[in-house]
Amino acid sequence: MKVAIFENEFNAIKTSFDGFNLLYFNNELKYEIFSSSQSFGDLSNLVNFSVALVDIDLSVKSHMDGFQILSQIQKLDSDKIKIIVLTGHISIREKLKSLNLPEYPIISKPINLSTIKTAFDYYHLSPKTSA
Amino acid sequence: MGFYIYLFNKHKFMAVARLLNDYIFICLILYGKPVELLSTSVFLLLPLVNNLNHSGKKKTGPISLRLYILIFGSYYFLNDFKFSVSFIFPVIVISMINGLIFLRLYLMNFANNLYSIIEEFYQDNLNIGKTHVILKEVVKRHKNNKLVYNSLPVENIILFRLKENGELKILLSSKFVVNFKLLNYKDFAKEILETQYTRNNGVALDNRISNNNLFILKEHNNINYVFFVEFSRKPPLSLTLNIYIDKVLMPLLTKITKVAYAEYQLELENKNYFQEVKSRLENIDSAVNAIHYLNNKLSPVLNYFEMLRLQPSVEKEKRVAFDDLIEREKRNAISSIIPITQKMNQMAEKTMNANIISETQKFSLRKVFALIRKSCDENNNIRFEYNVNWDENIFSKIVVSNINLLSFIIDEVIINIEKHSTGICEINYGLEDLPTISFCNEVKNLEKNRASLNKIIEDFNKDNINEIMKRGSNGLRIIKQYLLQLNIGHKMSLSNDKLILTLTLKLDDESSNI
Repeated sequence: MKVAIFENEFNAIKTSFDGFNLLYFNNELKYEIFSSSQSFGDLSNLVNFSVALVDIDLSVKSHMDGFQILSQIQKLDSDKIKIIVLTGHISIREKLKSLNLPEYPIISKPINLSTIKTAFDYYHLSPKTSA
Repeated sequence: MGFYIYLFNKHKFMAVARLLNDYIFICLILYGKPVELLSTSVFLLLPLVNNLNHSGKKKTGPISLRLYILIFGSYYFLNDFKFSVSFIFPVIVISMINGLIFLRLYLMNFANNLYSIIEEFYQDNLNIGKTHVILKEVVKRHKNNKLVYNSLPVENIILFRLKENGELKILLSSKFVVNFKLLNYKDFAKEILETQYTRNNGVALDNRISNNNLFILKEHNNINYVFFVEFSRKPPLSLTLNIYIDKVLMPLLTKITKVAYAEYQLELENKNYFQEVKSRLENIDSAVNAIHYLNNKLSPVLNYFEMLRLQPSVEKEKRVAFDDLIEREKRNAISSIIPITQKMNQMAEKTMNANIISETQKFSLRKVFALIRKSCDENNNIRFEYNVNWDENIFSKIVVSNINLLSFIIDEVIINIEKHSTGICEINYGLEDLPTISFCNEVKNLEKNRASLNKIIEDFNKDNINEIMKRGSNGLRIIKQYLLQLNIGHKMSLSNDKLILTLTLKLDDESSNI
């Protein structure tokens, strides 16, 4: 399963993902990290990924912030891409609603491997073999 | 008798009837007397002297044809139907005097009409930011008065501020002006500061040239204002213009200057207020950024403990790899702790030093007293009793502080008093080495709350702000924080059934000798 992660401070949460990958996917998850929207390039290529994790607070260097990326993905109108939001904002649900974006599963920072699993469970993506 | 009462009617016809009545009486008295003598004929001139005061619905002008007919007709009749040229002379002199008085009254009336613009401007609301409407209305009223406009065709008024570098900054104008340029001045600032006013110099106003104009300098509170008055054509009489400038324009412009200054002060207040709001927003912004930073840095710590929790249930074949990850996250967590604590200390430091005073002013203790009384009067739930031991000398002493913040503190103190009070609070204005203000609040349920009150007092009286900042009560935190910022001495104590907060005010150096 290929996962695209839009996050500019991935090092702080890398072990959480590695632990999650080991425990629940036997290291079969292949994730690619994009620190900015432009580092991904054409967002229509996201159809090649099963899951997209989008951090709302991308670096200011990113051409698009998390909300803009979510809007662009929504325009792709593809059911294949499962979207998960990464954020430190408390009122993120209201913000998503105000932008007419769907209620995506949210991983609130600070995160741990179990919060990642909860978000994946929303889409029934985690295999049954869990810790 | 009834006829004479009826004559007082303000109807125009009655005014003519009264005048006729006057002359019938004068003719009866003078009949057979030598009217060729001025001492006798002067009686015929009395209604002319009183002409401008003559009652009627409409005020009469200085020249009244019917009055002249009556004067000369009566004289002709009384002088055996003969006419004397010598009688014309006093009539002309009195008419000229009447003309001048009429002109003066007319100008005064017009000036009052102009002054009323400012009163009307403030009548409905403050009209902040709309002061240009005054200038617009001044021009409009000039145009509406044909007599004035024929002599003084005011077309446009612009108010400038003369900057220290000699430049003119447009503040208000009766017409919207984009570009304004002085054409024939070498050093306008120097000239206007020396002469106070200057006339008929070339000015480029947007895409046209104005040559019929005058500049008038007005100084108010060390700010130099310059009025530019533009005429649609050259005012015909220089004398009229001079009288107009001195008697009408100058007092009016003085009033407008005061309005402009008041608006400038309000703008300044607004700017200061928004500057404070901006600094608050910056603090909020940096707090939000700090939270994001902490959230990121806390992830390894949180994940480390979560991994430890999951460790016992991990399948055997994954355990080694998982233990390696735990070890890696442990190192990450340890290295996160230092930046987390550093950031938190920075935040705490910022909170302690949050200084919201943008400026201080000098004001008397009289002002402080009035400020406290006003705040107390606004509260209907507490009966405040004042015990004032300050004399006139103390009341005149000066403190250097921020009056808005002080008012805010007093409001917070009163809110806190109300929370714990039986309904009575005594305020003592005393004097130790420095003036003191003690709020002695009768506390309700004292025995029940004694322990918690003692803890509050202990925390509040500490020099270190940390303890009081930990409290849930916002009010006390604010009071303590801002009292420290304003350098106001403060001490809380419990005496009998009263909780006492004593504030000690530090005086300005110049008035510190009590």
